[in-house]
Amino acid sequence: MKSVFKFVFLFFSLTTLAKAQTPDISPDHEMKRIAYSAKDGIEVFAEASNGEWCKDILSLKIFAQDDTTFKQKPLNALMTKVAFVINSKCPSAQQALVDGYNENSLVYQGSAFKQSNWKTEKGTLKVKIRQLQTAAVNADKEKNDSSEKKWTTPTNSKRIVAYIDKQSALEQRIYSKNKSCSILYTTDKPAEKVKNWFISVGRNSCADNLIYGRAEVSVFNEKGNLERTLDGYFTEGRFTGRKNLNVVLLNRYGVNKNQQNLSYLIDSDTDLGIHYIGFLKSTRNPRTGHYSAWAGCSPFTIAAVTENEELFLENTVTNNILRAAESFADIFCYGETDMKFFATTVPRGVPGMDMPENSKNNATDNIIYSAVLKRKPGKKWTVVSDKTQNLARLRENTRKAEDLREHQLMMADYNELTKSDYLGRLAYMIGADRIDNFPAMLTACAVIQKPVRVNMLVKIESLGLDKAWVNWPADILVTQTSGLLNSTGWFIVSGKLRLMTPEEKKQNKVDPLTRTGVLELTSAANCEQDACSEVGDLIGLIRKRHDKPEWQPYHDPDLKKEEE
Amino acid sequence: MTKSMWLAVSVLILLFTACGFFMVLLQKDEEQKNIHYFLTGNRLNHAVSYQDVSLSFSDSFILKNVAVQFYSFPKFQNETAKFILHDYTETNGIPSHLSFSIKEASFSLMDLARTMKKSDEDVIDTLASFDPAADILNHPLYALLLSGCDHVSADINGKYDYFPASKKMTLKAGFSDKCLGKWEAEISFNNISIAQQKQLPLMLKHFLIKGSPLTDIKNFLKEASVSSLFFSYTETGLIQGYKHYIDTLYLRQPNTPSPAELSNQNIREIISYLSFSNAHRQRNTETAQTLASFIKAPKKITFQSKQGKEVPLHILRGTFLRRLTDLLLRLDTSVSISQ
Repeated sequence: MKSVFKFVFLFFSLTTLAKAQTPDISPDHEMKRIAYSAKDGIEVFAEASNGEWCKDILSLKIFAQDDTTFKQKPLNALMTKVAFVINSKCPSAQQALVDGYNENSLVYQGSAFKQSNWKTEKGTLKVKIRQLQTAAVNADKEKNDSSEKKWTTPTNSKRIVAYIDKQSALEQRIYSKNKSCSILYTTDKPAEKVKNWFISVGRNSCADNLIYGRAEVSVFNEKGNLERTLDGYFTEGRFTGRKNLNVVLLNRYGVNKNQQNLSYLIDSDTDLGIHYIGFLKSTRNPRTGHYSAWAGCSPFTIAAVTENEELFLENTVTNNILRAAESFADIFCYGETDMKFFATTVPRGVPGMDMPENSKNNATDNIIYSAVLKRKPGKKWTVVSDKTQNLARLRENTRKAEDLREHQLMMADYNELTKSDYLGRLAYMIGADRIDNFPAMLTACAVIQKPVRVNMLVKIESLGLDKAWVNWPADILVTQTSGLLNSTGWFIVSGKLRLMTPEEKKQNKVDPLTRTGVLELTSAANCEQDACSEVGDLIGLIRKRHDKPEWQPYHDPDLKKEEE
Repeated sequence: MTKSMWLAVSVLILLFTACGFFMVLLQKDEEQKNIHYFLTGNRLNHAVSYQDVSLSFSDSFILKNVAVQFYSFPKFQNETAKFILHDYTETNGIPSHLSFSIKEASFSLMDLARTMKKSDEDVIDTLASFDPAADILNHPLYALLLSGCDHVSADINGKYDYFPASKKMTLKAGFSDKCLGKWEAEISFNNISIAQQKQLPLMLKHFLIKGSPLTDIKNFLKEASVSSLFFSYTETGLIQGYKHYIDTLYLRQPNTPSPAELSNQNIREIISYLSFSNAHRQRNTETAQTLASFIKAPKKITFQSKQGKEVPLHILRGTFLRRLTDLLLRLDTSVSISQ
């Protein structure tokens, strides 16, 4: 036990909270190294913001020189050590996203939970859900201190100048007399006329020549007559009425003369590759010819723009994305009871989203999923209708892509195995790096005076109570066999090999001068034939490993012979 | 004899015995001083320790319970029950003859491996990827351990003869251990100058106190030539142990040929290797087949060079194995096995 603590101490005594940046991590994400082992070639980083990595849901990135680190057992062993750091430095953490990198490539995604002692669970689905929960938690925090005035654009998002579609956007810039201030005014009046219009500004000082925030602006026409008074909030010079929107505007365009559009960036989820986009509309009053203030509520329309269509194949992921959208509705349109959600591959031009429902601009191919949500005041949102479009095609594409990838992997295995020897094939059969030689590993045990983890082909001669005897390749005692070994014969066994102690030699009537070992069993794979000679059937071996009984390699020489 | 005569004789015997006893004590004291001066003078006093020193009736000089501390492996434990210097002669101040024997030189090969290891990972990696052919020369210690030899308790003998006038030197050594087997070797050098001869004790001394005798070996063998070579090995379990390791490495099944034994393909490879040194195909074939027979049923193998041959060492090129092969073939060495 002492040695365990010693090892843990050694492992983490070198731990420093030095800042470290790795090449494939976005520079927006600050990373703090929380643990490392030079001996094992492992570094553990936690994602941080403003220098603080400790939060409710941690985002850990593990860089290992050896990709076997991300196998379940070594990873859990590693996490028990990382848990020392988390529990001591960040006791408030409850969950962690775990990304594993080998040679700078993402090779593992999983999550870990405090309640299960930080044991990892593999799988991208859970990771995605957790990531979405992270977003929801962040959004909830913003919601709690919530008034519109306090809300600001997401941190780290770069300022984007809205792209103005000059063909369809009916927009003119009108300056104050001294040219120090201006607004972007929606009107269908001719530009020649409007260029002689001017504004007077009250209760505001301009920034960058445009009005932001609360202001009272009087618009005068070319004759000097008061055209209109705009009393309320402005975003980048555009009048939003009573709504103070401090957002990043993306696109300014019109559908026709009567509907003018603005889109703005709500948030970007870099992990999932989703941009959340909101829409503002300004409609023409046919009676007065004036356009309304820009409005994005009633209903609140939000689009999740992504190229990761596969996200919406999973209901749980879709629901979590909807939860994120609901939280954005609370932020941008607090108290609103109607919402329209679109998952699309394009940020504009979708019927019902920013185009009229009956629009001829048919971009339905770009819709992945859409939903109408409603709620009663103070209640939760419910989906009253939703539409999944193109999901069948998506599923088929995904399946084909997965099949292709698996086939490529299997072909790679096939090509590799044709060059490997018998031991290499045995190792492949059980998914190990190598099959070990007993005398060599026993010698290693004796030299380093520690147990060594091994995978060996053995022949079990007899079984006992929680133990067994091997008679090939040598006489070896196997312990902890309950539930793993229930018959004699050929097996590939894995476990910790150590030297047999003098007491054990006496108990088991082994010559005291003989150097032999004890294998503490952790897993055993039963051979179908003597010495697992079934590995001679290469295709069968690969089929079994990938669970694809029908698989055929492209260039199978055996099959060619059969055909001939 | 009268009573007084008996008394006188008894007193005389007693006096002689006392004198003899004091002489032995004085001589022992003298020998201890000599040893001490020798070790101190050669700065070996920290490297060699012993428990007792004595002189036998045959004038052999005996050190008991000797331990040697090696510079490169300071923690390496070893013990020698007896070191006996049988004979030592100098001609004009130059050592011309020396013979010695060592009884029960004991040390653990496992301890030596532990002392020499770099890291645990290195040990595991080296042994996991051990090549049973090539790594005999790269990691000879592991090869011995894999053969099952953990501990050595050997009897060793050595003989040195040097003829300054003819610049000839002969070295002979024997080694016998329960696991490592019985080894005998004898080599004769020509063209060893007095200056070169002096490198030999320096080589031993530097090995003990500096760890690296390479320069001394080079200086010693510079311009030397080998005129005769004899080597024999008698199996006691070393080869069989190594064969067992190879059998397990290549998953040998019961009642199948051992993969450790040389196949026809291996024999052809050896012949081909030998042919690069000497094109005598028939002799090369015989040598390879003799080696194969020995590996199949190891008992005793002998290498004996032909008389009248002489090979200057500086003409040998290549790796250690290539140089050794060249040397053996140039000396027309015959290989024979005895059952």
